[in-house]
Amino acid sequence: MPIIFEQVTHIYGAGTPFEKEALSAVSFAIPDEAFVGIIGQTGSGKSTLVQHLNGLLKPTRGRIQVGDWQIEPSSRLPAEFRSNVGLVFQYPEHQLFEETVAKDVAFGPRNLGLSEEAALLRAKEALETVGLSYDELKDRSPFHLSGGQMRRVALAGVLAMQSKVLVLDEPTAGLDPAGRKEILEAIYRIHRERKLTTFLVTHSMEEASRYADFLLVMAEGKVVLQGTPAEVFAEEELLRHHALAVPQTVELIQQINASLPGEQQIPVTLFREEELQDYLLHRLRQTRAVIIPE
Amino acid sequence: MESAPLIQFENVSFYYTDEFGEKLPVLQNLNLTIAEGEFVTIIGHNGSGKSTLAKLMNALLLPAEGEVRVGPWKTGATQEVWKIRQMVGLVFQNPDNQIVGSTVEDDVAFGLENIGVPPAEMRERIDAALKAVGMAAYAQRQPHKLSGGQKQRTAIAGIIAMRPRVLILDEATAMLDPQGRKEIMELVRRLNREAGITVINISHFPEEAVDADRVVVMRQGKIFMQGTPRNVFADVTRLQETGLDVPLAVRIQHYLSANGVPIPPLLHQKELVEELCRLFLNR
Repeated sequence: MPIIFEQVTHIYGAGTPFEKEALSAVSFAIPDEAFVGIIGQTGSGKSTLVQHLNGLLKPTRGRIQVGDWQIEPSSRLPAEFRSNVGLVFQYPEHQLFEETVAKDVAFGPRNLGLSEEAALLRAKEALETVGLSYDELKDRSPFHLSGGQMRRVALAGVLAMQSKVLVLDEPTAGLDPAGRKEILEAIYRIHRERKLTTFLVTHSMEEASRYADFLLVMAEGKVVLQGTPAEVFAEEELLRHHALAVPQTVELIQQINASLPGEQQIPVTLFREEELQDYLLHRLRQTRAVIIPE
Repeated sequence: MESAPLIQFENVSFYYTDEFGEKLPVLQNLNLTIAEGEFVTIIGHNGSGKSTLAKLMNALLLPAEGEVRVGPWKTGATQEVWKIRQMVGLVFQNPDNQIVGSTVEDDVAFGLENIGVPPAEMRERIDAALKAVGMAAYAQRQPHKLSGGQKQRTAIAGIIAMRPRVLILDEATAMLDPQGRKEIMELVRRLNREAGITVINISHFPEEAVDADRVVVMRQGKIFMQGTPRNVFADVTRLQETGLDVPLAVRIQHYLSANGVPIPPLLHQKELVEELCRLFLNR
C-alpha cells in the first residue's frame, strides 16, 4: 500500500500551556511493498509519526494518504481503516490480556468478525510464523511465558489481523541477539511473502541497514534525511550532528580507508556485513603476498 | 588483581514455580567469586539466569540451596539485608520504574533519607554523586523530562550516593539509544577505575564486554564459559551456538580466518583495522 505524507505537522496539547510540536511539516512518499526503516534519537518524533499511519493520531496540519484512504485534520476514519494497518507498539507484551495464548492471538481476528474457528486458525498460523508452537502454547497463560515468547505472542496477535501495512515500534528492544534476529527474520519473511508495506522503528543502524530499502531519519520532529541506506549512510556528518552514528560496518570501512591509498579504498556502500566480509576475502585473495586457499 | 572475594556463590541453586506449580530450575549449582575492584560483564541469552544472579547478589532473592556471601554476611542467614543492599547497588533496565523523586536531586536524596544521613552530609553526598555522573547541571530538573540515558545516570547517582562497593547493572542500557548506552558505559568504567567501585554489568551487547576484566557467559542456569574477553571471544563458534553474539571485529576476523586468511585472533576493532591494512599493503 503506497503511503504519502504531505507537510504533516502534529501538535500535542494545542492551545494549552503544554503545547508541543512533535512533528513539523513531514513529507515523504513510500511505494507499495517497501521496507522502511525509521531511525532517530529518543524524542525525535518517531512514535508520533507511526501513530499517524493507522489514524491513532491525526495531523494537526497537512495530509496523509494510505492506499486509497485520505487522512486530514478533520477526517473521520471508519474502523475498517484500522484493520489496514497493524501497529506493534514498543514492549507489545504489555498489551497481552487474555487467559490463554490462543485467545489472545485470536482476539483481533474475532473483532474483525471472523468465526471462532477461523480466528483460531489465523492464530495458529500467526504463532507458527513467529516460531512458536500452537499446540504447545495455546492453553498456556501468556503471562507465564518468557520475555521473548511474550513478545512473539504479542507480535502474532497483530500478524493475525493480516493487514497490508505493518508498523513495528522497536520490536526487538531488550531481546538478546538470537531473539532479535529471529523476530526480525520472521518479520522480513512475512513482509516479502505477503507483499506488505513495512515500517520498522529502530535505534539500531545495523537492523535498519540489513532490512530496509528506504530510510527516514528523524530529529526534533523533522525528517532530516531520507533515501536508500547507501544514500543515508553517505551523510555521516549530518547523522553525527544529530547524535546518530553510521552502522559499525561503515565505521570500520572508514577506519580502514584512512590508512589505504586512494586507489585501494573500500566502498562505503558495503554496509551489509556479509557483503563486506565477502569483499574483504575477495580483495585479500587478490593481494599477492597473501596465499589463501580457494 | 588479587584481592579478597567480595561476593561469593557456593553451589547456589534457585527455582521459580510456574503456573502449574512445577519447579523450574533457574540456577543450578553455581559457583562464582567476584573480587573487590573487578569489572565483570555477564552475558547470556534471555532466560539464562543472569537477572536472578543479580538479585541474589543483594538479597532481593535468597538461594534455595547453597550460599551467597556478600562481604561478611550470608544473605540467607542474616538480619542485615539493608547493609547488604547499601553495599551492593542494583540498576534495572527500565529507567522509568526506578525514579521516585520529583526532581533529580530529590531522587538522589531518597536513599540517603532512608538510611538517616544528616542533612549537611546529605547535601555533600548528593552534589558529589550528581557531579560523578555528569548530572550536576540538572539537579533541579524533573526526571520525566530527561532522556533515557540521563534517567539512568540519575538512578546511578542515587546508588553511588549510598557509597556502595558494588554496582550491578541489570541490562541497564537495553532500553537506551546508542548515545545513552555510550554515556552509561563510559560512566561506569570511570567509577570502576577512579572510585574503585566493583562493577558487574549484565548485558546483551558483546561490545560492552570487550573492556571488562572478566566475562562470564551464562547458559541454562550455569556458567558456560568465563575468562578474559580475549579468551572468551576467541571461541566464536561455541558462543554463537548458544545464541550469543560476539563483537563485529571478532566476527569478521573469524570469517576471514576460517577461509584461510592468515589473521590472528583479536578483540578490538582497532586491531582488525591494523591487521587488514597490513595485509592489504603487503607489510
